[in-house]
Amino acid sequence: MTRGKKILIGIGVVVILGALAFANVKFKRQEGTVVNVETVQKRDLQAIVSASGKIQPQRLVNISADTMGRVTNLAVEEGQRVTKGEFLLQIDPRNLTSAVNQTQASLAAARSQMEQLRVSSESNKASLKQAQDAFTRQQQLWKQGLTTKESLDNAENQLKMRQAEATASERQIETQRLRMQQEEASLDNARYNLSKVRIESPITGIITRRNIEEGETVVIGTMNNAGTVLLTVADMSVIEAEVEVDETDIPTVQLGQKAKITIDAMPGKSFAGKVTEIGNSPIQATGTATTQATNFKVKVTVDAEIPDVRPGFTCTAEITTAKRQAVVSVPIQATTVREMVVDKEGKIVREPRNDKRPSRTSLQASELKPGQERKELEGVFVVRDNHAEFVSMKTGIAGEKYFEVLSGLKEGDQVIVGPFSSVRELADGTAVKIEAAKRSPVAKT
Amino acid sequence: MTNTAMAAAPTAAPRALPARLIGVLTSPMATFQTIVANPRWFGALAVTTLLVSFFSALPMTTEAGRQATLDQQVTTMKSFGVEVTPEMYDRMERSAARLPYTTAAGVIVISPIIALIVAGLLFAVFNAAMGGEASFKQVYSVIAHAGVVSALGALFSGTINYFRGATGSVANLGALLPMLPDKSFIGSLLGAIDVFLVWYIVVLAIGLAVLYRRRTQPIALTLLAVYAVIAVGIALFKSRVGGA
Repeated sequence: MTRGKKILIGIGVVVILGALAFANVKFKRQEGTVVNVETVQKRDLQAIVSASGKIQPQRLVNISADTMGRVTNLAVEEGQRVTKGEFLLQIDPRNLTSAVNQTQASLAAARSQMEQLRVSSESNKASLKQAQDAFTRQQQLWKQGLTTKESLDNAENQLKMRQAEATASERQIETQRLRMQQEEASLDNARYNLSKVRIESPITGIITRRNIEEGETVVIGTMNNAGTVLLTVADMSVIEAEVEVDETDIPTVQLGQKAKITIDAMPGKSFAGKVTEIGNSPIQATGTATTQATNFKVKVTVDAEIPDVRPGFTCTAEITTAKRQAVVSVPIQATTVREMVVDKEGKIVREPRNDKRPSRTSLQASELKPGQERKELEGVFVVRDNHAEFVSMKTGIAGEKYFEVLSGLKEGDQVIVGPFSSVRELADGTAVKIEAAKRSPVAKT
Repeated sequence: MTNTAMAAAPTAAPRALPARLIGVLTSPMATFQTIVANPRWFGALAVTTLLVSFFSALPMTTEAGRQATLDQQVTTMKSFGVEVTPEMYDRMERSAARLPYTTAAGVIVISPIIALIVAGLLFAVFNAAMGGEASFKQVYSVIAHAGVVSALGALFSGTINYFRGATGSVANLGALLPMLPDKSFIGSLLGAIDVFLVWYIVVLAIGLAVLYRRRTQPIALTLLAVYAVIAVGIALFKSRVGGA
């Protein structure tokens, strides 16, 4: 090998070793768990309470029969629109018509009897007047000594008898008058009963249910017995979403809050509404008490009419319970809970940074300094100097994807949002490497 | 090309140890002719082993170096599925102060044994399988002198690691491309290729070629191919386990 060749090889070796030395000193390979981050920035947030339930009309009338009988005329079909007062169905009126006629006859008989009693009363009055005159005459004659004591006593007795008869006659007339009133009341009742065999719509709406067919016999409706409902008329001009809201959300729900309603049967459409009723008592669970969530009934009235909607449609109401404009926010998936050592003032006490040291989960009380304690804190991991630093924070409202940050974070902080396993397992001080493709830009607001 | 497996004749004049060690780096063929003619292994092995021992332990004399070694140990244990508990870590941390001594001692014990094993393998291949007639002492002397490249590598790595407070190989090609993900196949492959190890193989091939009177190139290519296969295997394992 020539000397020149040796010099060239030597220079090559020196160059390679020099490059390696430079690379080792200059470029320190970043190590650590690969994470995705998102930048904390200001956003407009809406706190949404989502609950599902059923579509119901605000006014719904279940029509039952007040009288028993066969349906002789059924004028409506299910789904038919009806107006208030429109004829719906007729129950056989013959029995009730007979009752009316019978009562009318009884009343007429009572009136006739009344006339007889009045004639009799007039006759009694005339007799009384005659007896009164005779007695007066006997008294004058007695004073002049022109009549006997016997004649005077007879006249007096006759007068008393006529007075008793007149009084009895008056009593009979009064009794008959009361009887006539009774008959008139019976007639009114019979006529009212007759009127109830003709059923008319009490509201304008749609026949949403028809449980009867012409020719069938109806029974008298009883409360809480769906089987006795003949027809249901719903006023679909005002629609409500009756939803079940979880007990943890119910304190934030208030009357008048806006809501967005989606109906499963009408995909792609949403309808605006407002909360109009909030239940004060929990919905009674039908299953075992231990497995049932405690929910409260909330009614959301839809602002506009919804064509082709039907009662009972499954729906979801997203109630906007709070709004915040341009607040510092953090992704919900970034939040986690860690047990940390805090000092007297509640500040996190961090151990010296060590990437490989396993996280301590069970420090003994004796290992803590005076004034320190272990406390479970809610917070996020922020990437600082290529390490995950657990930062405790206070959150406000929860939007769909973000929490409002009340304290603990500032705009521009890069919080670790994934992978999920990383957020779950990271410890304070762990070395991390931000996945290049997922690095989010710093917020400009 | 000659196919004879005759041992080299003891014609070259013997050299002093420093001259032999420097000669292996500057003119390996001529130096190995001297070594083969006058096979002496102890001095070279002792010097190279002590150098490797010293420079391997040097980074661990610093706190950062000990911490880096500790981290390396934890990573290795985890890669074998051992869960390092805080208590285990505390014990390892307490014993870290002894790391320079234990490392140095370990190198002094292990290095001659490894050299012995390698010499045995090569002796078996070239003598038994290929009909060579070199003595084991000659083979061991070649390996002991080739170790000067390893000592140079230890000096290079140990010095850099001492100043940067780190541990591990610094002469691998992966260091030149830090932008590559270390768990990727390419990153792992380049990380497994150590410049000093390549140099060592080339020097060893020259020594063997001189010893067995064969051409250097086939021996070097064969040894480098074996190294390449091992490097690819390591890279595949790391990239699979690392999940890159």
